[in-house]
Amino acid sequence: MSVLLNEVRKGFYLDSVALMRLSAELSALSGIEEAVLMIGTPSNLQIMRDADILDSAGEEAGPNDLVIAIRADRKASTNRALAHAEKAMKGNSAAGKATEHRARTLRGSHASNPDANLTLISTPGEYAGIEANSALDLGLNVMIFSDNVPLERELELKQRARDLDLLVMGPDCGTAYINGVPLAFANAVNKGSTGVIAASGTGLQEFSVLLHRAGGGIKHGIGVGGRDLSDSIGGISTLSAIDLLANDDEVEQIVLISKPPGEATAKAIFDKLAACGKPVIACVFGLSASQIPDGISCTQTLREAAELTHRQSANAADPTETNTTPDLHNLASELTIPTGAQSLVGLYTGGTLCTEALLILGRAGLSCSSNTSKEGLDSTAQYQLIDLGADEYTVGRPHPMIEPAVRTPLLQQAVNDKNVAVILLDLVLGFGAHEDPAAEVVSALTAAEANKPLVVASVCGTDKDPQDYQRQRAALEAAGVIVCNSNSEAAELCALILEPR
Amino acid sequence: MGHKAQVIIAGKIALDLLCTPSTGIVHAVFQRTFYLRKTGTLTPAPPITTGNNARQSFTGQPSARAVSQPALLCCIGQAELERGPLNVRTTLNDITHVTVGDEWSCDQQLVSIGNIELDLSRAKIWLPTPLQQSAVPDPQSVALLARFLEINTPQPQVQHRINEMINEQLINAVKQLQQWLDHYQNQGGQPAIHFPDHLLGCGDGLTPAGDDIVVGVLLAMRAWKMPALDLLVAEVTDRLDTTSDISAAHLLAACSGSGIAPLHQLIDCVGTRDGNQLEYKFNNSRHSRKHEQIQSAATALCSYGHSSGYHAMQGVLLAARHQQLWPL
Amino acid sequence: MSASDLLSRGPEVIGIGLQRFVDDLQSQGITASSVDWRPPATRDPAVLQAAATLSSGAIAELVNKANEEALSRMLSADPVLVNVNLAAELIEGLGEHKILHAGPPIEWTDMCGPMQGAICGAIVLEGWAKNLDDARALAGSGKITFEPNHHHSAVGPMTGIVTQSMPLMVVENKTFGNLAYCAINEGLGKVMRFGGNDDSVLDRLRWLESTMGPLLADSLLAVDGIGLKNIIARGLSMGDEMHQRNVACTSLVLRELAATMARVSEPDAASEALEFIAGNDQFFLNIAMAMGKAIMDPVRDIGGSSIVTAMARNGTEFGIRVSGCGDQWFTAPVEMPRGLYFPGYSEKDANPDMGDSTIVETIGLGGFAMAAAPAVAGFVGAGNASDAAAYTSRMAEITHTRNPEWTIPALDFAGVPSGIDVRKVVSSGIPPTINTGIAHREPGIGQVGAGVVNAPMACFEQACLALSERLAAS
Repeated sequence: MSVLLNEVRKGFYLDSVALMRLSAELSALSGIEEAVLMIGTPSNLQIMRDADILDSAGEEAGPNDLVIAIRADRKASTNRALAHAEKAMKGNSAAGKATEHRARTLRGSHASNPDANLTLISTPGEYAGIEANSALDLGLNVMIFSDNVPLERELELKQRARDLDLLVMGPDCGTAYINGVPLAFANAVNKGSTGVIAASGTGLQEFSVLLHRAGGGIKHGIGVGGRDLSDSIGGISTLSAIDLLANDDEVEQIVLISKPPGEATAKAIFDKLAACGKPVIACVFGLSASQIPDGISCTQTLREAAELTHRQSANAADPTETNTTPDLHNLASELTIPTGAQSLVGLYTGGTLCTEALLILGRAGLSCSSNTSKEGLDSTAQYQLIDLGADEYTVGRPHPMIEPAVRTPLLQQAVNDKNVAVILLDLVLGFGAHEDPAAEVVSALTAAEANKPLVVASVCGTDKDPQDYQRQRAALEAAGVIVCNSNSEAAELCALILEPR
Repeated sequence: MGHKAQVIIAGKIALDLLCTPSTGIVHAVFQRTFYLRKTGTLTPAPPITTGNNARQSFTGQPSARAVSQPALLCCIGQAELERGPLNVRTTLNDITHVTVGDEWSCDQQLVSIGNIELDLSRAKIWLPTPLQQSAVPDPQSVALLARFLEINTPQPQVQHRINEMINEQLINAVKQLQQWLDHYQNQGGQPAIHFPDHLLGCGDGLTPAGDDIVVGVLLAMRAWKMPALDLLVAEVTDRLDTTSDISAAHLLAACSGSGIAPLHQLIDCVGTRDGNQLEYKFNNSRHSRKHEQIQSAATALCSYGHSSGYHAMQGVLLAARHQQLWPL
Repeated sequence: MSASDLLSRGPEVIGIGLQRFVDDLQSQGITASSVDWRPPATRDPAVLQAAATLSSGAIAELVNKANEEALSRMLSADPVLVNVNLAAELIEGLGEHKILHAGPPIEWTDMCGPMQGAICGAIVLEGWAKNLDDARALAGSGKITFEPNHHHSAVGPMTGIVTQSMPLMVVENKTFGNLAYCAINEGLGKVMRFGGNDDSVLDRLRWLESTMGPLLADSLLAVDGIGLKNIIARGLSMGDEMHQRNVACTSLVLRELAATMARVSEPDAASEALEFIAGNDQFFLNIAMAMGKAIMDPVRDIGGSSIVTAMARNGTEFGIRVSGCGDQWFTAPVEMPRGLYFPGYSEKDANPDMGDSTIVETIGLGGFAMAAAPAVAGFVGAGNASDAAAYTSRMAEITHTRNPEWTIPALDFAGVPSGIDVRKVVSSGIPPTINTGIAHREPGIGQVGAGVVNAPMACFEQACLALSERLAAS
């Protein structure tokens, strides 16, 4: 003799996955012959009626009600199953409210996580300083992802941290690696023996990606923020970082990636680096080798820095080889640009990558106008590089690395511009970044007319990244994009294409 | 005090609902999304007429049934929420503070829900890409889609009698829908058989499978300018009260021509731009790309909801096969 | 955790802001948690600046030190229920035509209905007017002086009315030698603390004065007082939070008193008195309040301290006092409680929040000890029993420390959060949570529900501003 029980929950919604799971859970309970959870539409009620699992209570259900129908061997079993369902639905109706209590303040969270050693702050900038201060109070190191933290606040925080033997990364620190763990916007790269100090996010990302692809790996990547090396801050975090990396036995070489430091700061930094007792490689954009003291290897691009790092490191399999760089001259000569078109448009999501391209193109004699330069962007210039992560493009919007759709209209415009010969792009993968940036690019290109400009791109990512480097690359290539192995290579190729032939 | 968040992108229907000064309550709360209901109801907009088919019921008389008054709903979600007519993608970090029955209001492009504030001022409007002129389903693509659906039939977590009964009823209802469409063609726009009664609202899940199928049919028929569309819209709008408010809102959006973005993408892939099917036969490389496109669009759809995406594709397939039987 | 610890051990992260960063770390198996961060409640730059000033540099050190002193006084207090005596005997200057009330100072015309009703009843009780109408005329005539209980070492629940002939319970803080007073709880229903003033209310008050008071006094003298610290510690483990649930503590006191009371009095009187206590689950609330006042009074006026020494409501305004600002009140309009109503009543009937009973939250009980009393969480509409712990954890974010002697078993014997710090209230945007009874807005109807109410943030903001001004001046 089986027993039937119907329960109707008025106006109760569960998402489908939860409904299925619950129905499966109930069916698996002992003594249960059938357990069904469905919304009470006339169609569904008809099915339940036909199946003889609808009783008078269930008949009353409407299309916005949830019907729970349970058939079991005895009353006790139906009641138990119903209790199970109610409990599960309660958990869901609170939509996670029943889950663990999350503290509202850093102090509250620290009380339940006393072993924490780092605070990652990504609040609006006006509050980041306050939170960073309370982190230092609690003896926590700080990574400030937020930007717009006032300069004097940054100085105050860094001085305090130095006195407390703590590290402040940032403000505006988008990327870091600590003991091989990627933080915020970072790629999944191998752990290795290299310690990096970087002022910027995408610079560190591109370097780590290229080093990873070459076979090397990152131990630490300490982001210090764009202003740390200015004379107003005096490189406080950079100096701390040098000490930390010098004292870490697993770090075999130190790499510095930055824009040119302030004059006074440069001396302090380079002196300390030269004396740190480990090989040092510097990639300081806009600074030539002659401006960097002997004993520090100097490179012009992130790719060179990564290659040099890998060659120098002890575990490089074959230090002589690795020049897999394709012959760009050959490649360039095979490409044809639309007739009459001469200009270049670079649309960047990564700020440092934009700066790197600007310098490379400049060295090749193509003087570009860019919003990253002091002069600002001249929208009538023949060669333009735009950093879409700059404030003027991101106010009130997600960063283009999170939501690359910001680039789409500009890309479409460039594709259909008869004067544009080459479009230069970057795609940044990794944690925090958009799940499929290639799709956005491809969608903008498919609308292109014939005789369209060449599109040259690089993808900053690895095979271990959530987005999968190879898949992204393949998607771009399928859409006719020329994909280079690095940003510098992409910029060099553009220079060769546009060179008078 | 509260969470402030930006609306990144929102479907046209959702934005229209929110933008006019309005109030309402939280209708339902899920793990990652919640639905807002606007106070008051809406009479469905008349369908876009593609030919001279006035809206009539199967008896040839204007429908005697009162037009149901579906609720006005939109769906608020986080950054990963799919683009769709009712969907509002926001920068909200977490929605655990929202409870069913909470009141909301919108004024000056600011939506307040409890202690959450959503800023609409920078929202982008999402609309499906405009329809291609004279697109028709491409036979090879239709075959690919059919094959995909065959291989990827969703497996229920428990195999019980009810599932089989639902399937049976669905299959019958779908058959009846096919017959209904066929009769429409045979009779020159006057279907002589009854529209299936047990299609809408049939199936477990938040949006019943039958509704999902109809959504697919509606969108595909519009994309391929199939003449029975207007009559189908009329039949569906007449029956919105036989399913849940949430599902009815999605159906209504589909009646007016919009569904979630991946569904439009799939329909776009299945159709050919210019109707020149020879191009695909003779261009292998293009063809293999088409194959990939359908594969990836279909895979993306499959991951939408529990099985909603799958069933919507069934609807697309149904419409495609019908169109092949009855080309213009 | 020094920087080198970070590098050698690898990151263990607390994220504030974007949740996806924490999710990404967790997906890689890294220990990471996140703060449920929200922007500060106030956008007033002056207030934010004041909170920041008080929280940084030398001023922060000074405030921290003063708060340490405040907490050491709070935690070393030894409150003992010692006596019951007439208000006129205990409170200097309390005589004809003077009435004490709950909350910060208030004029007759600004008082809410229940407060005015209770005052009229008290005037008739004292014989200053023959009937309630005359009493109302007298109260509005300017011939009656109104002063807050808090100005006279006293506290009172809801309307908190105290006049000369009422018996008050006396709690002595043995560590500091100070006394604090509170009336005897009248029971539920139609009572003066909810604005009741008819004959049945006045008769009960007369009985308290003539019979109950002296009997309690005799018994307390005979047992040499009842140490309250211990009672509270045991009550917390028995499910009381001492504001909306006092059933355990009331029983414990009854147990302490019963035998002695039977010995010191006539059998009929003892039976009547014990029955009265046994019939009133909230009997202990007034003792807890007097205890709170006895504990907090020695904490007043510690230069620089940002610890709250009193929170009280007069039905119109909510007021707080902060140690570093002495006896200054910081007030703001009182909020409406959110809660559950007895059958037949709804929010429409509710009077705004009222009474000195918030002194129990000030010492870390009531809403702060919600985790000890899961039953109350449901009763006051604060959610499920399982949500109760979250209230206590949240309050720990705005208090200086936890009380090691008053612990909560369900929180693995963590102490109740003690010492509300106005800086933390303002910077976190978390207002103190108060468990409260809800009075009917018409006098004389009594309690219609129970709920939780937040202390208004504006009080704490003003206090922050005032304290930072004082410190800047010194």
